Amino acid sequence: MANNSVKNIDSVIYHNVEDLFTVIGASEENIEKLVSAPYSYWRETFKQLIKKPLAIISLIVILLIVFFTIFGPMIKSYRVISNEDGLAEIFAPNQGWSNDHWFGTGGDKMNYYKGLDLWTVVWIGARLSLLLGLVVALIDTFLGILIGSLWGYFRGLDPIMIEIRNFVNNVPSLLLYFLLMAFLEPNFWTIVFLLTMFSWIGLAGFIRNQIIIIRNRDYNIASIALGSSAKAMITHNLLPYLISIIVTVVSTAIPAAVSSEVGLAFFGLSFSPAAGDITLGQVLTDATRAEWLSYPHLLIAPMIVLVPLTVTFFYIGLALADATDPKNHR
Amino acid sequence: MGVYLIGYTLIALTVLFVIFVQLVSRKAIFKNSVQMQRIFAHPLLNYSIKRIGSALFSILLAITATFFLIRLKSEGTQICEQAIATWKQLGNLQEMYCTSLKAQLGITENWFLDLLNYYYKILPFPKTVCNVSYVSTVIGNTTIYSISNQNCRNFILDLGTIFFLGGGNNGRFVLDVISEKMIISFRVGIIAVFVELLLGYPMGIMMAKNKDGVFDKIGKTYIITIDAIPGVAYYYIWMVVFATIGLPTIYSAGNVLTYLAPALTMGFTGMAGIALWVRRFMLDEFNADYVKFARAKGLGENRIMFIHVLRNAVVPLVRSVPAAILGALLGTFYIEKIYGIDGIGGLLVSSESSSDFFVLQGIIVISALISIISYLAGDIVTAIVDPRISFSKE
Repeated sequence: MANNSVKNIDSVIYHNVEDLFTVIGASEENIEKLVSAPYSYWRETFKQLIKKPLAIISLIVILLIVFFTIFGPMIKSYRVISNEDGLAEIFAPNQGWSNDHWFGTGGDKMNYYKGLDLWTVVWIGARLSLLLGLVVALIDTFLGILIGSLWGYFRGLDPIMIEIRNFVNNVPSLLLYFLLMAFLEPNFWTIVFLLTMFSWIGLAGFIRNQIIIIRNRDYNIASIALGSSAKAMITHNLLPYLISIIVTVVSTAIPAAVSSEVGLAFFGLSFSPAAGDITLGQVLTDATRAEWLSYPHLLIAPMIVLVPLTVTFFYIGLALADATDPKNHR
Repeated sequence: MGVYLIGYTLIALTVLFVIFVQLVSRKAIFKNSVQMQRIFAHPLLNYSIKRIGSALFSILLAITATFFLIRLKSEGTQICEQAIATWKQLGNLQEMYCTSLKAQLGITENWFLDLLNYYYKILPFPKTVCNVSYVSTVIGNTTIYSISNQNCRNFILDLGTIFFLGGGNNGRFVLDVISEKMIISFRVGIIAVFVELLLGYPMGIMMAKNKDGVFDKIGKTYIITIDAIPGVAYYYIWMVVFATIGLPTIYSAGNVLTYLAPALTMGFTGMAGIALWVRRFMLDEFNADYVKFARAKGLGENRIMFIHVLRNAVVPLVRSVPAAILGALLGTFYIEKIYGIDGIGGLLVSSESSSDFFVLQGIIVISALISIISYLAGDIVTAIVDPRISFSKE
């Protein structure tokens, strides 16, 4: 090895330099062409994402679930909610999976879904759960980013925000849910309010930490020296850096909101099932009242949607975190 | 009298100590005594005092906010209804008795005064509290009803008396009932803490050790699953598993074997979070110079792993251990409901449905206290474990 490199140096020193290179000439056409394709952030992100087989499977599962939440109740249609068009169709309870009832029928100990076709109930429930998750995730992200970036940028907000965070950490959230639901009628927007109330602060804290990390980087100091306004600093310098974090946060906030709704429903704080609003949380809660050990299909029916829904969204979030990071591109 | 003496002495000593520390650290006294400066002007001491101060402020804020929420929810009219039902014979005097009873409990028309009253109750001054109960005395043909103070006790932290909770608890002190329930929650919770610590750390270490290996992938899948699935759904999956292997899934206080299913459910959940952080911190340490140096010296991988890397990686992790142990006192509301454990979770639900002011308020006070104590204990444990935070001022 050592000998070899010495020889090379010798050849450079003692021989004519032109012997070491071959002249290939220049082509007038190739000079004008770009060898590599122009860089596009989102295309590169997409490329990174489809490299992962698990991410593709997750996407397919999500699309399937979304498809069934829209068309599922139409494929196998039974009336499960009594309204002015007619009464709900009630069958013999505790039926297992069959051709007529793909997820079986509700158990006789269930309060709200006794004898109903669980296929229809579950997909209608998934509709509301998913919508709720989406709305809560969007509001959470909006509030989290807005307040988090302000919080990170203006240090004066620290005492107030930390006091709010302490409050949320110190008081058991279930207790506050109970107290608030005493005043609120359970409808879509009150549940959204309840679910966003405690989750945005965690997100805002996360964004704030990220902002603090990058705030004193050289390019930001240069911007300040050039006289950028606070608004321009946040929108042009800080947020683009955070885009990968934001995308990740949105997609993990959806399963988190769906899960929180299940938690609320478990303590009877969610929508009132008597009014005909079905969510996955309620179906699960109602199933736990029945004899699910003897009739496992009661528990499996909501879980078979709930578990893939949350896991795939969560996984997509993690995969997006990698894919949107510009360090992993190219 | 004894409690009063001890209580006030302790308060006086604490105040004096805080003033003393402030004076020493500002170099107003003992300017030249190195020894005194070293002990009393220690940054950790000053930091702790500041933390406790701001924490007390946070507690007061939480109590104030929830106090008004609870008051808005229910105005305490049930007290009068209850009193009227009990004292049917009283006639016109019912109203008067009812008002005096409410005043004694600290539920009046003036919410602001009630709030100040509650502040006084929870401030750490010694005070004598008596249970309010109604006594009937028969004199000749007429029965005379009167409110009397019975069962007086000395308290430092007075959380009031239970009035609506029911289940044989009416008339008892809130602090007694909460501590009774806390012990029930704690018995199950402490097993869970041991399970999560004893399984979480090895799992994280194993995952870090063969990064991207089979075990790492299985572990990651487990962690993602736990994070994603709603807790309730996940607890029921474990319940099915425990039911199939024959563990009893219905809690009974006398049978320790029945503690296992809820404790393991809690433990297996907590384990995922711990393993995730152990793995992350260990992988961070792997790139440090001292690890490369240890490798260059020719140390074995296991020795590097356990003697060098782990000791540095646990420093940010031990902070959460006191929080986990103290958190076991409050239990997990969902698991307590699923397995029918009669702990703090059950108390919370039943006090909410019966809208018992003082139990709800008491749970808030206790949980805020616990979260603050565990934060402070976390700081102290970190200082003990990390030799870089030393008790001598350089």
